[in-house]
Amino acid sequence: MKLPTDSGPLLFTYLALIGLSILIFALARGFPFAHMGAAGPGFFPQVIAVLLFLLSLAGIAELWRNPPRRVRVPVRVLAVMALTLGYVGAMLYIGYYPSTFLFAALAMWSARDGAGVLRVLVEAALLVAISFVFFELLIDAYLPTGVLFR
Amino acid sequence: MEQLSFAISEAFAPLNIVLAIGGTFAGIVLGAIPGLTATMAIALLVPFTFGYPILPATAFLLGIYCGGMYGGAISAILLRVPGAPSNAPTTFDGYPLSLKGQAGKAIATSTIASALGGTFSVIVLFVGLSTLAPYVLLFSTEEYFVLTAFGMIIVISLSGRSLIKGFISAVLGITVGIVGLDQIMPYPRFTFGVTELLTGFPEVPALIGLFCLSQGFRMIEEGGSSPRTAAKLGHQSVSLSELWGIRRTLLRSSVIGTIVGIVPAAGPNIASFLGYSEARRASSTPEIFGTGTIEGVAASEASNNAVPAGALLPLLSFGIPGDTVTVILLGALLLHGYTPGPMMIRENTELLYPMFVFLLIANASILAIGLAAVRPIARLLQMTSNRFLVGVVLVFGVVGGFAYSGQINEALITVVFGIIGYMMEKLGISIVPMSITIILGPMMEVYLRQSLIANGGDITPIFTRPIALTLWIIALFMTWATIKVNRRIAAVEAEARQRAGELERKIEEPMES
Repeated sequence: MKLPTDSGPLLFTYLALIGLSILIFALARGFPFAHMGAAGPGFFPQVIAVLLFLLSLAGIAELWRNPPRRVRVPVRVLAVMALTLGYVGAMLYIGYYPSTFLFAALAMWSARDGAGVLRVLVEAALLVAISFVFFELLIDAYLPTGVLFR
Repeated sequence: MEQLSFAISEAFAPLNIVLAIGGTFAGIVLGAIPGLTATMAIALLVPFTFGYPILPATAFLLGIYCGGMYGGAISAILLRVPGAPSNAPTTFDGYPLSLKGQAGKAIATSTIASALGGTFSVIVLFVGLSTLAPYVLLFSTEEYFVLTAFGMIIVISLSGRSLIKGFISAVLGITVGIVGLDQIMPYPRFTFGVTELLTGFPEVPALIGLFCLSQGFRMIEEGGSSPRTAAKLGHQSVSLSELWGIRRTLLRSSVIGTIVGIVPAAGPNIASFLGYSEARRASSTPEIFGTGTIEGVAASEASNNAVPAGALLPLLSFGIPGDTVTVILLGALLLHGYTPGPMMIRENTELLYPMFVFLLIANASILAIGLAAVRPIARLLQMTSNRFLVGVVLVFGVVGGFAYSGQINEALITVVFGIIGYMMEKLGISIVPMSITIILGPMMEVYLRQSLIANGGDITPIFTRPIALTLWIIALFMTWATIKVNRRIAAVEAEARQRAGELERKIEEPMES
């Protein structure tokens, strides 16, 4: 029986959830206090694992009833996701202000609205200034100075 | 009475008033920007409250909540783009009014309706809490389990076309919640030796990621910043006689919004659509709805803005969040050491009573800001590019997660949940059930296990205790009603869009010829 087209991403997700449910069930079986039965720490995770397993199977069955739309994630979105993860790491090493300026500029440029590089840099600087006022002056939050600058 | 007067005098401290008004203004501005909802506004700004004591923090957050609900009406009327999904019915009549050159009247109507609806529900909240207080103490773990299950069932039933996907989203939220030290037996579950996971995934950074960062990624995908053409505001006024003419609609919509707000997890989307459809049904001239009538605008906005105070009722009395905003509010209250529920009603009146005052201040601020400051807000709408907003949402989202407790791993959690939220929405799996069960899931488990321990492993009291059984019946009825209402809403929405399109074509045709 052939799967409807465009069901690849959803099918992969459901299979991953099935794998996750098996892992949760197996780990929860090994929790102590099993003699407590439903009141022990392992019972609820096992119930959740079984639910997740059954729901994922139902989801796979639903792929034929309601064929999914095509899922397309633009490369620039993936790039910004990676950038955002890198931003968290960069904050730790080069500090909040340099990393925020770089990240904001790159993220804004990725929005692809034809704005020039200079405009993007000015707006990134403006955003850094706004965040300084908000986080340091208004809420007195600790912002990392960076390992390299300590 | 002494407690009440002391608490009220505390509420009127200058800092609290300034923050309540400031929060309302911030909520209106952020809510007016298409793509930024009240939930996102509160998620973005909750870090602002980390350094403040509980009263000013609550004043600020409640101000954002109320302001954010109203703010979306401005873009709905001027741009035909609702600030949030719950403002969508406002476009049905608000934008046609703009096309007729009556944008100012529409804005004035939405402002007054929002303030009236919000004030009505605050009064109901005050009366409701005072009435419920003695009965709440009769609730035991079985009843609390039913209430959390109720919230989960409702949110799943509203999660879109696929109930299975809604259920999966809810179960994923529960799965996130079971990580960490077991709350009954102190055993670490699924921590894999990582010390930071002993306290589980922090809710506030996870929610900031789910709502803010995922939206930021969607904004990157949408790209482009097409110039927004806003209708001219013109003279802002609506006469007293016009308002008197729609008094029944205002009252009906306020009641609807308050009741929907009280139902756990129902949310403002249902309130506004239901308020609009009921107003049309009760009208002697239903055919004018969708062509530009202030009654349509008032119905949507009064019910929309009655939700916040209504949603606080289950939160404060039982600790069950009434919508996605109260999920974040719950996280913020827990952070400040307050656990909403019957103990709070009994022992924390110094926080409870000021909340009523803050909500009244917020609704009065909506009236003042909406009638006086809409022009600069409308101008800001036109000037703000998608590109700049992307930067604001992503930076403030990540740093907001970091600012939670100054740990870089929390910023990482925010980003990871942002990625998860974006991918879920791409796959047609709503993040709303997950956001609610991240909080409700651990609560459900604790109540279930406490009941089993107390009853020697017997699960039947959850279904047979009189109050629990009554709650199950109400829950099942509400779920059935919610599904029915949801279907009616879809039909109303489709019809109203068609009418709005026809009106636009009628207005454009003379210009072309």
